[in-house]
Amino acid sequence: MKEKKLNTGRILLYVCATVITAVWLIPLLWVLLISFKPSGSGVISIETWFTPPFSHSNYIYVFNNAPILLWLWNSTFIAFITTILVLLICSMAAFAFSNGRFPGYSPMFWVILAGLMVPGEAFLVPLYILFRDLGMLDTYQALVLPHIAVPFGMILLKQFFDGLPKELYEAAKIDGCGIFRLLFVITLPLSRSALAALGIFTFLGSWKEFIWPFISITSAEKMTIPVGIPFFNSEYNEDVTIPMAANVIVSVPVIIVFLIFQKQIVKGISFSGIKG
Amino acid sequence: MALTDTELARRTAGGKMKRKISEYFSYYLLLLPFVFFYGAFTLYPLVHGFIVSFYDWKILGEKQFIGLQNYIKIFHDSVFYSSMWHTILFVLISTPVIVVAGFLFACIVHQPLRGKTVYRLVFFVPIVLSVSVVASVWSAVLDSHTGMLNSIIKLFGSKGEILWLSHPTLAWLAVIVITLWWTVGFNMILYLAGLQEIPDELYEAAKMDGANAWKSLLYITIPALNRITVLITFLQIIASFKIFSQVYLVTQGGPAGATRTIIQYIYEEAFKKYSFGPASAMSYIFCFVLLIISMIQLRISKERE
Amino acid sequence: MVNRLGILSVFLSILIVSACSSASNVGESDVGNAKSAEMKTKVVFWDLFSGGDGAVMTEIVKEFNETHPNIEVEKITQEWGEYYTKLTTSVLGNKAPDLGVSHATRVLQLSTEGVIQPLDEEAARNGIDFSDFAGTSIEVTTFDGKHYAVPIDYHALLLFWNKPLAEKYGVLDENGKPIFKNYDEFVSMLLKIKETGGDIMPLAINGNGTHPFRFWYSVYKQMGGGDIYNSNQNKATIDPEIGLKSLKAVYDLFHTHKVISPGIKKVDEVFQSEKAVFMINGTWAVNNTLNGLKDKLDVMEFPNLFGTPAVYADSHTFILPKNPRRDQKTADAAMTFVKWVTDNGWKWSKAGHLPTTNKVLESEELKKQPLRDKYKEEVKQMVFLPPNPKVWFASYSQLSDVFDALWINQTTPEEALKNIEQVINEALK
Repeated sequence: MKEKKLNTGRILLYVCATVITAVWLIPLLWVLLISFKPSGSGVISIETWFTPPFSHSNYIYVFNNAPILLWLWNSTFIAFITTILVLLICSMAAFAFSNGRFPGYSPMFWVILAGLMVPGEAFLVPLYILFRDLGMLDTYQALVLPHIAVPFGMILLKQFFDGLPKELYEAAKIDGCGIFRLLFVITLPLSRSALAALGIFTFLGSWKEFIWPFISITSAEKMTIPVGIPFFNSEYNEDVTIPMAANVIVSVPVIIVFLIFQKQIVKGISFSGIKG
Repeated sequence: MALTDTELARRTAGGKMKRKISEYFSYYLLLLPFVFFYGAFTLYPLVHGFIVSFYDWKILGEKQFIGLQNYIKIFHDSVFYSSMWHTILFVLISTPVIVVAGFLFACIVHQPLRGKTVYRLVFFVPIVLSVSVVASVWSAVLDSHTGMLNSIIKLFGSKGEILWLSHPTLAWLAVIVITLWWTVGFNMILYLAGLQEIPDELYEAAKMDGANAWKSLLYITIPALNRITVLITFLQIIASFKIFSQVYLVTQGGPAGATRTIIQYIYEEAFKKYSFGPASAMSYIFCFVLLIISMIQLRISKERE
Repeated sequence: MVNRLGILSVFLSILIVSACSSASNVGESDVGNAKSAEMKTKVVFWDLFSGGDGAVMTEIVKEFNETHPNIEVEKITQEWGEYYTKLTTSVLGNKAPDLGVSHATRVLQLSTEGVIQPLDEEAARNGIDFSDFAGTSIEVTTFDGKHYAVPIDYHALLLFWNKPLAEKYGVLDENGKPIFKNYDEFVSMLLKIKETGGDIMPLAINGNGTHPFRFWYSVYKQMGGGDIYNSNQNKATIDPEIGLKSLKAVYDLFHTHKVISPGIKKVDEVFQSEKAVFMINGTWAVNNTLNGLKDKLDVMEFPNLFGTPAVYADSHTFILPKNPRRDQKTADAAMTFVKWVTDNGWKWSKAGHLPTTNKVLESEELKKQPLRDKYKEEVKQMVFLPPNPKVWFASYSQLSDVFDALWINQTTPEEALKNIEQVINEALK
């Protein structure tokens, strides 16, 4: 450990860090605080933030008037399924591109690579028409299917597989190992870090997606968190404190999970970023 | 020793051919799911959307082929231009801010300060929050009459209400601050990883040569992070171009359309006015712009290597 | 070989699971309909009451379900701003609800777009008599001799005030009513508060979106202005002189006399925190505000400032979305619900809105509700936006943009008038 001299430089650093931390945290703390002020009790002047009345009536209102736990479940379930399917399908394709030489390799690869530059937001209209024609609007499938063939995921894994020692494969092939066993028994276990990284990336992305679920989901039971929460903030819903209770309800589980898995999440993001 | 079947297959020419084909088949099978879903849900919409942009596509009922009319209509649409401009403005201003902030935060967290894990946590936590929660929180904080910020400011004597979200310039400032708060953690983590890769010896050596902290920063740290900076900047640019949700949920594109971004305009055109044709056309123009930017980025990064 | 089979089966199972779930999504309702023959008839009902009135509708639905054991109404509330988008796309996607709500002024557009169907047959089968509902709401929702809606309520803008605060600033007469007979007196009353009130706002109104637009529209009509657009000729028809005068009148409140603080987004909160003496809000806010301020609250009809009483109003109505999967039993159940709600219209008026049948208007239950008689007469001065088959100007973002720019002083009334005409003409092309 370096010796920690307390000079002006370090003091400045501490001040900066503390101030920024405070600024970053204060909105969330304020939200937590006023979520316990019953609707209509007034939060305009600062004294009201710290004086009674306090109650959990907002939370009761939220639970009674919106299927918020269902939204939490939907978000989690969708993110989970998407992640599993992405890992499965992208690793299969990545393995094929990494180890295979077959007719059509180049054109297929380039078409997929080109997909990296396609912004999903620009294809809402045809995607919407497609799912409407399939009769699959307002379904879980609509939220999952467009996101499982992800060029980014495939390429990330391919690059990782490319880096694995070829001798491993040679040895296995001599032992008569088939291609599928090569992938599932040998390669994937070795690729844990890449899979974890892609998994975390995918999970977060699915969890936070807003515009497509907003457009395609119409029934309250199928809504995910990003789609349901704005319900509390509409032009005619003028409560200040009730939406804050909703925000707390959906954010606390997420923050807890994050705190538990922060190491892996951070590692996952830096991995995806560096390799990508 | 008798040859096993596999050995036999491997040694005969016919066997080799069979093996090759069977290998191809395996690879195709591996590719099949990806190709299927990619084709169905990425390629097909891409092509179909292009076709839709040449039609007068009504919500219910017949669609009429109208050639380039949608594109012509868009090129005469002032709201299209203003929305594109708003988006470009956002990219130009927010990108340096969020990239540099990511770097600064990483520097702070990289120092051996007491409590640095807490700092790192706090700066990063907003990323795991849903955009709707972020928008709801910040709408409440910035509300001119009932919000946290103005209540605190009033403590210091100011009389009037600052219209954070109702004044065009302030609204943009608000959007940038909100986006910064929400996403800087991502850049910070990437920079942190890069910082951790710089060997200490470089700094030791520099110190012995009489360099102070500022010089170390300028001549060791920043150059070493070049590749990451380029990567982060490119990612930031592309992400900023696609901005929609936090603006839509906080300002609804207001006040008076001053913060309407291009994705929001496409959304409004498609799902509020049901003009799928023009919306598709705009999507394609947007995609084209993004493609050009990506190509420029690719060229720049190729040249650097 | 085994492994290749493995892959194939994984892939196939994904496909099958997807197909199955989508099949089951459709199958659910079929099973539901079959079951309904034996058990309850389920009615999927979408409404847009995401404000304070929502809780009242929840109560109503609950009471109906309890008193009608063979019907179950499932209410889903969509957010006000997204409701029509979701309704239309649900009809498009063949997942429409069985019963819906619509503003009376939007019914023409919905029927032109093919989203809703006439409901004469269903109404007749279930005892609903349209002559009970005579009034503007029926007039604007009947085309080609067919009725497309059953009115639930009338809603309009009201003037709210905080009694103790108003007394403190001496702006109430001996009957407890605010002292003004026209615009100039209204302004001087508000100025009086501003001069002596410190940071208490004289008048509070939501600064953007639909509220100031409705305020302006009421003023325009009070000055005698005609239709602001003609649906047959597809163009704007704002009277230039009256248009400008009315825009100026509202603009002055914001920026010349400065008796309204611009940029308010949560006027209920501001008013309930007693930071404002007067508030202009709608009938939908009465319930909430009453809960907050209790006997400090008083209301009256929208002030007549320019001679002809007029106030922006609209009406919520029940509509039948086009839904090929809805069978006759479900349609009848839905209409039973409609009849019950409108017969007991005083229940819904707990939310603050005015009922649509004379029977309910004169009923004892209505009279018992606090404050209702203070604005009962409002029904006579209501003015609706002319219905249009293409565009619903009540919530048209490009039109709001022009008005918003005026209220935040980014444009002048003259410019605004020009832009308003331009936007309307563009939209109706």
